[in-house]
Amino acid sequence: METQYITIGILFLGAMAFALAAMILSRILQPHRPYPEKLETYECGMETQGPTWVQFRVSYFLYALIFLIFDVEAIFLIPWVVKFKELGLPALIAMFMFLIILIIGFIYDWKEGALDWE
Amino acid sequence: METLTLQDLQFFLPEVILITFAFVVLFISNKNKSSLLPFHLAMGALLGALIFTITQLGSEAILNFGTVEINTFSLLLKIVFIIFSIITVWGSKDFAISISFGKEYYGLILFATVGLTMLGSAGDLITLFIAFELTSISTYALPLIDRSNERGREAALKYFLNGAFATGLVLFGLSLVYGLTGTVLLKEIVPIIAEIGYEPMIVVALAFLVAGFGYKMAIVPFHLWAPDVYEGSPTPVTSFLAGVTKKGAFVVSLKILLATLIVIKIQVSILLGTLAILTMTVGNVVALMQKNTKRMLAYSSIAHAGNILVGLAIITELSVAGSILHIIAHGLMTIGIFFGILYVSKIRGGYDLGDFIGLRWVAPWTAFGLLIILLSLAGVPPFIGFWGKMVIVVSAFELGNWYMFLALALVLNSALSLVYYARVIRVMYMDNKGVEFNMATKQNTVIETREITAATKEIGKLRTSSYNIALYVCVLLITVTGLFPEQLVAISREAARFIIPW
Amino acid sequence: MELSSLAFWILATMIIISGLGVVFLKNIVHSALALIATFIGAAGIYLTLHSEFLAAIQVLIYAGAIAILIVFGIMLITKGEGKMGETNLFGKYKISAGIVVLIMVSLVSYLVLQTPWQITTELNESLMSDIAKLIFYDHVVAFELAGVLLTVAMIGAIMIARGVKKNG
Repeated sequence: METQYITIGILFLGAMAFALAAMILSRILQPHRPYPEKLETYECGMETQGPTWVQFRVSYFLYALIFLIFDVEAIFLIPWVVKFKELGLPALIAMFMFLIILIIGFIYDWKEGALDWE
Repeated sequence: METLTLQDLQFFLPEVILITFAFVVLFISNKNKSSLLPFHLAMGALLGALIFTITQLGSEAILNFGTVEINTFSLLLKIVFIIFSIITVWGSKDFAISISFGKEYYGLILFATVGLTMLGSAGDLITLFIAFELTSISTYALPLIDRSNERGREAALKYFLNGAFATGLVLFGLSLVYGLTGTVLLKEIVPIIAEIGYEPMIVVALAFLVAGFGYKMAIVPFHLWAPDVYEGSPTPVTSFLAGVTKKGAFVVSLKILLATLIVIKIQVSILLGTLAILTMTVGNVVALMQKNTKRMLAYSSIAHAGNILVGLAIITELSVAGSILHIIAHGLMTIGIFFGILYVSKIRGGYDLGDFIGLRWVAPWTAFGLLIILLSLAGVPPFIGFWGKMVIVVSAFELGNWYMFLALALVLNSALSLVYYARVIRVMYMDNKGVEFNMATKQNTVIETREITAATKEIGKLRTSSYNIALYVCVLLITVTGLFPEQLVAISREAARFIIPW
Repeated sequence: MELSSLAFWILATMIIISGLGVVFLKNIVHSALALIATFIGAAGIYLTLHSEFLAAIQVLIYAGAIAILIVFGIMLITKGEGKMGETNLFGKYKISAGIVVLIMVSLVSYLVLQTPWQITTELNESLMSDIAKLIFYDHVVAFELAGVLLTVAMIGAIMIARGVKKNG
């Protein structure tokens, strides 16, 4: 068990080292001569307008909410799918009832226009 | 102790009916706002669930590895909670038409009722917790249901944040209990804790549980959210929150605390007793100072939470029966009185004590209903509010010793509460000024005579409003159960026997 | 030192540092990112305890969905330009809060070390089938109720957000 994680750990450390090395090396090697145009958000192209901190639509939040609910649902699906054959019919019925309840909720959201982008 | 069979499913029929109808209600078209279809469906679902629960009376079963228990306690609470919801839904008929989320209102109440009915029958910590969360989450959105009510926003936020925090505390406490015992079944927790004996961790677990449930039950010092939420929410919602869902918290704490406190019974008893005395006194003293009746009743319901807690603190079969009885009594009284003052605010324009002046002449039946509920709240016989306190006091006298002090505190507080209840009664009945509500200007004008004038007659049209119906139903139940309490006391005692695990 | 305990100490340090970051960073977006690091660290702790399923839940739900929800929640705020000091009204109680939390944490952790915890099930070859059996047989009623709970949470949240949408 642990040896599997050692591989992952080494891979993780290697990836970190690689990314860090690239950043540090370029910082050491690059010439550092800033001037006003270079410090703008977009060096070429449009100038930025207005504050960057603006209020977003509430629709984003609604999508995130529905995503969260179905994310939780997906988590319950995992053990059911993995052990599908051992669990048998009762689990199948239980899972379908669970899914139907959640899908009804989803249809309600759809009907009430929570997914509309106005 | 085995898996669910098809035959066992009959015990879930009330919940299945409620869930199915809740979804059906949610799918009614939005076009016709004044349609009574959601109301009829919700009432039908609740009545159907009530009938099926009543047919189960007397049966006893342990289902699905002990995670669900059907016994007198669970059936009694199911019936009680369904009846509470029926009265609330019935009373809210006129309210739900006036708001834009009418069907959501009924849907959420039905879902909350599902959670409440499962509370009684849950036999393990997980089912109990999820049922309790279902109740809480269904009600978090309710204070916001009326968009025209600006204060609902603040109330909803306070209710949600406090509720979520309390849930966290409860969950931490429950996980500690599970860690100590290694089981989630309430029936197995008791012998295992008794075998382990005293561990400091059980104190920490109980501290978390008492604090978490303390928030939900609004006992002092965890009560600060309650007055703001109860005042800010639309009144039918307040009646549901204070009268129905808050009682769910008492049921859960009865079950969980009784199962876990076995090795430190005396210490827990002292802790709960102190909290109870504090809750009753603070609730009553602050209620004395309130001019707004809705706020006054919020504090009065805090004081009553203290009364119920006294029964929990004594921890005998009789005292728990008293708590159950007082839970039922206070639920009925709270629902009734909030609908009563909602009616008064509709004809008078506000909830202040001044709006109750001369109510006797304007709306004699509403005034009479409020009179009975106020007397019952103060614990005057022969109403049901008296019997709950009575049973708790008797159970304290049976044990004697310092429990006598608890009983004394309960009696003194009842006397204290009579002061502010009587103030409302005096304003309604004794104040010699006749007051007329002008429908056009929405103002009260003081008039000299006691004659009913044309404007007052116009109010008479409102008299059959659903708010009054809920008030009358509650008054009827309070009086009938108060006059013939033997049956209810006996059932409560039998129910208490099922949740006291030793 | 054993390898798993080494992993534990690394992860614990990561959790504590990023946890402190959530509280002390001045920009609320940086706090949210630190929170995600905390969640991932907790997932790592579950892995060292051989609880892969819990680790998957932790990553998918907490580091995935809930973190997104928090970031979107921050995006809905226009006030204060994301400076923590302006959004948190109770910052002035930080000393008393710190003392209370310190006492609380030290008390609970002392007791946690003192307590003989019950070990319910020995580690199984396939933890997943145990979990599946528990969900779909022992706690099937709670499972269905959880479905209703999720749906109700969705309905309530949509209702609130829809009201916000209407009011503009």
